[in-house]
Amino acid sequence: MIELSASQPFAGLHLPFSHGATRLSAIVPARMTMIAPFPGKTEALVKLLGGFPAPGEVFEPHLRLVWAGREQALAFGEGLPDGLETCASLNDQSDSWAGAILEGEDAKAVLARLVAMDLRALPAPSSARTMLGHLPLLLVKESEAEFQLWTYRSMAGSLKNDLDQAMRSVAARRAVT
Amino acid sequence: MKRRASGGSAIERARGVPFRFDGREMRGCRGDTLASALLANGVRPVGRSFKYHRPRGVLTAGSEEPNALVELKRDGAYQPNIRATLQELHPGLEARAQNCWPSVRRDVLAVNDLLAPFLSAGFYYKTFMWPRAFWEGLYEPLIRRAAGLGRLPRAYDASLHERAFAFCDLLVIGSGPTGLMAALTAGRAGADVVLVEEDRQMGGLPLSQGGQIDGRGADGWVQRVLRELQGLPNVRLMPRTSVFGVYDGGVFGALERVGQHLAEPGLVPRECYWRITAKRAILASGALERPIAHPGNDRPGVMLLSAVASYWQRWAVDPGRVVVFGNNDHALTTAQALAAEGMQIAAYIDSREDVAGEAPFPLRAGAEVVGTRGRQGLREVTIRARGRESRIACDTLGLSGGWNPTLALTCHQGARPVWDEAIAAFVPRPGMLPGLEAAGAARGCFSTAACLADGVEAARAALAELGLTAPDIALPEADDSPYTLRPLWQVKAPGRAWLDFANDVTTKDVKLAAQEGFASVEHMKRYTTQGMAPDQGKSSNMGALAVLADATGGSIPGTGTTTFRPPFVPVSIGALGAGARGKGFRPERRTTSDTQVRALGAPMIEAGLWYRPSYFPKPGDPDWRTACNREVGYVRKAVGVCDVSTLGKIAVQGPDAGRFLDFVYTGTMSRLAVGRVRYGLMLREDGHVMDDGTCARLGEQDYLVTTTTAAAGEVMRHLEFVQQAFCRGWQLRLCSVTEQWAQMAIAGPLAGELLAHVLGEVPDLPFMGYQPVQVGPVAARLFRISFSGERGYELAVPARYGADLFRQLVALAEGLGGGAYGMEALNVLRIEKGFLTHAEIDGFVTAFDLGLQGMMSRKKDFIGKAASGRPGLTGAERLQLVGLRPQDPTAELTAGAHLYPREAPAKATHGQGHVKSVCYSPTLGTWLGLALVTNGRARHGEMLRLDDGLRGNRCEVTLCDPVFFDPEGGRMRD
Amino acid sequence: MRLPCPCCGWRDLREFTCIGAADYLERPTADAPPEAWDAYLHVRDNPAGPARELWYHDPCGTWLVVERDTVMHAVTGSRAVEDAQ
Repeated sequence: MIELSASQPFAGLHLPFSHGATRLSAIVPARMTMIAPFPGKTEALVKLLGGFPAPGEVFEPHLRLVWAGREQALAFGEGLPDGLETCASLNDQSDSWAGAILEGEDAKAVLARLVAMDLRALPAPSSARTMLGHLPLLLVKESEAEFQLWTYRSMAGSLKNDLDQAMRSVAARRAVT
Repeated sequence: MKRRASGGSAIERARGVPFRFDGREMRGCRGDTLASALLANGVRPVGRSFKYHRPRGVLTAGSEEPNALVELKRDGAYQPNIRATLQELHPGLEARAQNCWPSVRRDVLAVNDLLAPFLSAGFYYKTFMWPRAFWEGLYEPLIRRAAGLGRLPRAYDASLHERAFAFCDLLVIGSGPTGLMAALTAGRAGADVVLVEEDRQMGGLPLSQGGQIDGRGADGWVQRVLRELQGLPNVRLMPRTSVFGVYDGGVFGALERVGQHLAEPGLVPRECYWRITAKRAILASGALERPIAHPGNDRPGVMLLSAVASYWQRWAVDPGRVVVFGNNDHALTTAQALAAEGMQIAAYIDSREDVAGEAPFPLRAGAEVVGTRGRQGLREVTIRARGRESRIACDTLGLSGGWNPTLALTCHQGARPVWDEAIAAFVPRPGMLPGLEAAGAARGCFSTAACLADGVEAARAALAELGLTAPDIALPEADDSPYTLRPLWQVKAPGRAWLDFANDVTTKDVKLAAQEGFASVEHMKRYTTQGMAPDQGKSSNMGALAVLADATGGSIPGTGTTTFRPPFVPVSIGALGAGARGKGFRPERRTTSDTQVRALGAPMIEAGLWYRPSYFPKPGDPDWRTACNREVGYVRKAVGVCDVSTLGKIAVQGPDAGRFLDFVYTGTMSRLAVGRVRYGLMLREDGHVMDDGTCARLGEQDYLVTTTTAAAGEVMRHLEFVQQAFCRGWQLRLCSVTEQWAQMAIAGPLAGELLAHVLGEVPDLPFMGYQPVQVGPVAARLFRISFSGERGYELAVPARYGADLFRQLVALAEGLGGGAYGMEALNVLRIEKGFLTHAEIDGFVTAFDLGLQGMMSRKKDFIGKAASGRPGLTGAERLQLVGLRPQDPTAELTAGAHLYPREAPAKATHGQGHVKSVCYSPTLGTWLGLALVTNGRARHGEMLRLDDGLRGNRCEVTLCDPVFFDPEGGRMRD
Repeated sequence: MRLPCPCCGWRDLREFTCIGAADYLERPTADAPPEAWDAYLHVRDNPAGPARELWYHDPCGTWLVVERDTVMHAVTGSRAVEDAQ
């Protein structure tokens, strides 16, 4: 029998780092479960979970639930209530995602270089599915100056690369008169 | 700086800026544009014209400039077609005139000007017709060498560009009195406003014309409004930004010059390509003054009057003795204002008879300029009044033929402007473009007072549509004098009168076009090339149209305009491609074993966005095939390990999961036992094969579908469609788990032995079985499936353990005489077994073609069933999958080659099919191929000729069953 | 160009994939005559004016029926395929 050691999605990519007023750091993965209620079973699910996020919602009745696409939400943390499988599809996604935190007063300016959606009206916290450059993106807005950026694990390098360039560019612009 | 007057609102005199033009050292001031600095240094010709190579000087002070295009040294290379009127001066700037050799003052091709009688409109259509054979060898290379504006740098463009997105409630385009009032009104109302200005400084015409607004100097008023706007958090000011296109849904393309004015930009991008999405937009882009086509009007020193004023006010460029030639009230008031400020106005010439006014200069009504003189620049003009000619010595001629509203953006979606007789110009129609309205001078309101009021009004209307309340806003007092003109498009006198300065089009060319039948404006444009230069005819379209109308006897509105299309101003390719360069071109997907396989020296190949190892070289390998053969040997004789995580994995869960899978697969998955795996085929609705893969039943209501690497996205989209469109209410959900699991293939006779090391025992798992297993404390999944034909397993662990699992598996395999294998070996192994990939499933094949018709259930409906049964998709006329073996085992087969009867010529009519994939099989000691051949299954044993015309490869091959090795499959089952 | 996703609101064109006319939702029954299948698979109008099209919003996984004017380019409606009839 062998023993396996774990590695992180951003291993070898030199996070965290800062350019100018923004900082990028890796999120240490927790248990993430994709919950997708079967058609017509949302009410039953709400009873068990204490709620289920509508599009764009993030809330924490017990576990943190982040809307993550059509009829699905990611639950962060351990301790899902029993019986969920009768009304929803459940999939462990703890290893599917690479998540990073982009923070600082220029975080929005950095995202404006990469994300083609209107971030002005998003409340905090809230979530959106969109793209970062060509990468699939689950964006969680924590505050006006803090965003969680989640993409698929295999694309961690591209996520870092795109953000690194945009962060450098925004920082360099600050010096222009 | 011999031509610098006092004042100059844009420059800081104390800060000299050294620069070079055409190799000459010069000095300008901080705040200069290259054009203003050249004028202040007394430089008159700044370039040569396109066709006749005539010396040309600065005509305008804005982005509409047709003449002052220069090559600018940037990042080690010269960038052509930089408008000197927009380029800000910085220390060390190096520019050179373009379209001339050896220099702008002495240019060899100026000989073209003497040949002008032979170079009229359409000359090359007429001249270079005969003899026909001369075209390719002689005429075309000759013309190509002479043509073109500027030279493209050959080197890789190292400059940085950026793209960005912005969103707002209201976009205000232009920051003159109209735009400022619109932005102020909307800003105070709390709307998100973006105010875009092409110039470095916001303020528009008042910066150039002075005058009074709100009882103070116009410049002071502008600064006060700007200070308020800067203080509003909901207003964003974007100077140095040109909106160049209007697109569907309120999207505007804009180009910001970010670092173009910096001596050392460092990481600051040269330009930024903005996509601004606005709920409403106000076009406050003002108007452009138009020149008058009179003989000799292209001589350096002839400028638009507004440019003369602008260079004087903003950059203190002294134009010397100025003659003003106009046809409108604004020209006269401008001349008066400039004279009052100390400019030497030698004379004011107006084509109208009824002009009078107090002026400290001679005022000649009913007069026209009929000629100019001066070799490198203007020295005198010839005036004709009541049939008598006289000459006036001067350095500058300021032209004002009236004003054209800058309305191009309102026409970008196909709408046409309307003719306004009062101002003799086209104006936009209200409601031409949803969400965008022109205001102020852009819609023909020319007085400052009218612009201020119109800006407020436009903002009010936009705010009402946005559901916001407009604040009460006091209108500042300003000039409201009327603007009248009598159109003067051309001065009829001997000599060439230019319309399009950039492309050398004269009034005579337009008349010739009309005479020769190119009387429609779109034909005239293409025949003469008027309006087709980088300036897109901003200063010539209206004039050319009027001359054409005159020549054809039609009216101007009847003749109509050409079509306005984006981009309104030139946009560099670098800016359009910003962000898509190098690694930004597309994402890279890397497996968890990526670092290790690269460390093993494996060259990587792309599979979709993924990177996979092609083979693992060892020291002393003479070529890649040696490595490939070795790796095939691992699997056939010992055990090989391969990362197969890139295959798509989709969890299908719920009470109706089986029913759903029965509908999307050709086979029946609902009857698959828990713990079993089945090979499945998905069709497109048109009856062709979409993808193949395995389907495992992990639990009663829990299936795992695998797809090929390349088709994972397409299959997910397809399944979502089928579920959402045809299976409403069915109790199931789909979830991609591709990235959750790192999955390793372990294949070969010793695969079980290797697994015993991993799991502690040899798993008792039958072929096509699944079971959950533990690797220590880690919950894993074990499938017994084979893509190599040997005893094979695929072990899946959560991705965080993937790197370590791969490392340990390879080490264990090496201990058993095996090792890691790459894509090349994988391909050989599967061809030997006749297993399929998308090389065979190319979108044109049916299940019948692949010999898989037995997998199509007769008992149920499924996607693609009806269409797959239609005539033409089954039968002897179809290309069917066969195996190929060369007569001579060492004869190389090539994929993509075509197959013909042995004696028939290599012509399409004789084609029997084509080769899809090939390999050299070390196991069988021969080349092998998979091919699609007409009625192939009935032709096993037949000999054909393989003919690869492209690579020059020919050999004889025999058709056979596509399973070359272990046809009974005993090796993978036992 | 921008399109409204019922889940996500207005989004840039780059997030969407179009597969053509919404006629594709009217799948014939398995025993329908070949003519019905031919029409379903291959025969489409090419309207200059209002059109109903199938679009996929890739980031959230929703299939939509978008009502759009092919002349004026105005988007007049968008509903999830699941809710559209």
